[in-house]
Order: sequence, then structure tokens, then C-alpha cells
Amino acid sequence: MKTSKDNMEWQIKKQMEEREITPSRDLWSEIELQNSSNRPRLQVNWILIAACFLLTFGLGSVFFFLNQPSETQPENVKKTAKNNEEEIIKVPVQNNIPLAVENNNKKEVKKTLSEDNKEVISPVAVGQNKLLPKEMVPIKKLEIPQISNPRLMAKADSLKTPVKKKKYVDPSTLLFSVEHKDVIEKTKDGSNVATTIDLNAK
Amino acid sequence: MKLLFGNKKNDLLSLLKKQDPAAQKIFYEQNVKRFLSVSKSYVSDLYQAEDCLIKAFCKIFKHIESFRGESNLESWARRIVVNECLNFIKSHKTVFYLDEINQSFHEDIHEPEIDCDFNAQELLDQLPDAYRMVFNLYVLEGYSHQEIADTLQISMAVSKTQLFRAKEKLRKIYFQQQKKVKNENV
Repeated sequence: MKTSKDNMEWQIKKQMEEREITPSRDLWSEIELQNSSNRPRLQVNWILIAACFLLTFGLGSVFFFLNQPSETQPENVKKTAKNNEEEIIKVPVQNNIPLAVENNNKKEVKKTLSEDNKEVISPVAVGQNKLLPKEMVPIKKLEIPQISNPRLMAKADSLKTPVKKKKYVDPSTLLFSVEHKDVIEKTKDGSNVATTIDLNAK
Repeated sequence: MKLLFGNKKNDLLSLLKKQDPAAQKIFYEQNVKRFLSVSKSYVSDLYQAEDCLIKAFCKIFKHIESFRGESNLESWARRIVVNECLNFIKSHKTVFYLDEINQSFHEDIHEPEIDCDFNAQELLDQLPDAYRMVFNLYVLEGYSHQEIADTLQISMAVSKTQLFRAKEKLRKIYFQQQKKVKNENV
């Protein structure tokens, strides 16, 4: 047997379960707004943006430091000078082969001209003696202006110049020059007048 | 289209887990009216009930991946709506729970039979918040007193007292309304 108490609870539950209320406003638009702001896509985008920024910054800094001139420039000067010397030495070796061929031809010609004189002329020695000074000297002159800092070169040269020697005056000559000042001035004028110096006079 | 005509809950759930906006809208349209009714039974003001529902839907869509399929999706979502309403009441209103009363006093109540012709929402709206929360959780949601005690952070005895007083209050309100109607007819 149902009591009134059970009946009331049951009635309330039944009514509430069957009831549907239509919203008074557009709730979906507000839900959509809040959802879009909470979606993780935006976070991913921020991470991507941050990663791109870091990458560009890193690459930029690397290129900047690579392109920056080094502070130890005097060493560079020395190195370039050494390199020039090395190049000067090496280049003739590379050109030896064609030179040797040319000289061989010359040798054959010489042989035909003077068969009696069987002097063996070494091709390498001839080539080096004759061609090197003429051909390679201009290369030296062209390579020197390629040095990056002329100022530093100038400084380096100035260091090599000899320091002026101090002139020490003998005290007796100094005393003599003071005592016979007039005579000395006359000789400076250019006149070759012979003067007599009276050593006894004061 | 498949969701609209096929009505497969598993497909809807998988799409909801992928945060598909179309699936979310379908789920919203399927449940908004019933969930608003649930929300309104806890929060008497319609505008505030709608606010609670918006927050609840956002939570449902956000934490859908934590749903393991052990229960029905609708009942899981309804629980979130209820929790959101309870949080709203706790944060916006001061709720007072009255002292315990004797257990024997609960059972010995005999009232005349009640007609089916009454508005349940009107009765619930006149209940104090503490009574309404316990009554709704016990009667509408089917919570036990232990679950109510855990949810509202009160003792089981207080939960039972609140339920008893809520029922008593409802009967009083109902009979007062009946008297008014009879006097108006006479």
C-alpha cells in the first residue's frame, strides 16, 4: 500500500524526469566560444611560433658570429705573408711540366743544330733559370694588395724600421764650438774664408 | 549525416573524443532541454541555471576522454551537470545545515494522500537550498546518504535530517496551496 509520502516523492520524480525546458537564450554560441578558447590547437600554434622564433634567432646569431672579423688581426697578417711565400714557391712546381715539355723541344732543336757538341742541358734547370724570374714576379705583386687590412700592414712595417741613434756630443768639441761660435757661423754661411784662430786670445 | 540518421552512440562518442564540433552540437541538441530541467531543479533562477549548464557542457567536451564507457554517456554527463550546479550553490550562496533529529521521528509520519495535480518545480523552488540539494540528490539522482554526505561534505546523519525536513516542508507547502485553492473556489 502506497503512503502519501511515497506518492509525493514519486510524483515529483516523474514530473522532473519528463520535463524539458527550452533555453531562453542561445547557449550553443557561448559554449562554442568557450570551447574554441580552450582548444589545444592554439597551444600548439604558440609552441610552433616559439620554436620558429628560437630557430631564426639561433641561425641569425650563428651567421652573425661567423661573418664577424676575428680580433687577432696581426696574426692574420703574418699568415698571409707566409701563405704568399708558400704560393710563390709552389706555383713554379706546378708549371714545371709544361716548361719541361717546351724545353725538350728546344733541346731537340739544339741537338739538330749542333750534333757534335753533345752537351746535355738539363731541361728543368734551364726552365727555372730563364722563365721563373720573368713570369712569377708579377704574380707576387698582384697578390700583395689582397691583404685585408692595410693599416695593420703599415703598423707592422713601422715596427721594422730602425730607431734613430742618439747623437752624443764630445764635451771638448762642445766647449770648442761655444768658444769659437763666430768662426763656425761664418763657415756655415758657405764662405770659404780662411780664418785664423788665436788660441791664446781670450 | 551518418550521426543524424544512424544515431550510433559509439560513433558519436568517438567523434566527441576527437573534439569534432558537429558531434558536439548534436550531443548538445540531444540533451540541452533535459539537462536544463535538471539544472533548474537545483538552481531556481533560469538564467543562473543556464550559466551552470554552459559550464557543464564545456567540462563535458573538455573531459570527454576521461569517460571510459563504464556507464551511459548521458548519465555521466548528467552527473557533471549536477556537480556544476552544486558547485554554483556552494560558491554563490551560504548554505546552513540544521542539527540532527532522532531516527524514530523520521518514520512515524502519516499524511493523507496527495493528488497528482501539482507543479513539482513550484514546490522545489520554495525549499531552502540545503533541503533542495539533499532532496534532489536522494530522490531524483538516486544517491545514497553516504554519497550525499561525501558530495556535500556533511555527515550521513545530517543528510538524513535534511531529507526528512525537506519532505516535511514540501508537504506543508503542498497543503497550504491546496487550502488556498479550496478557499478561492468557495
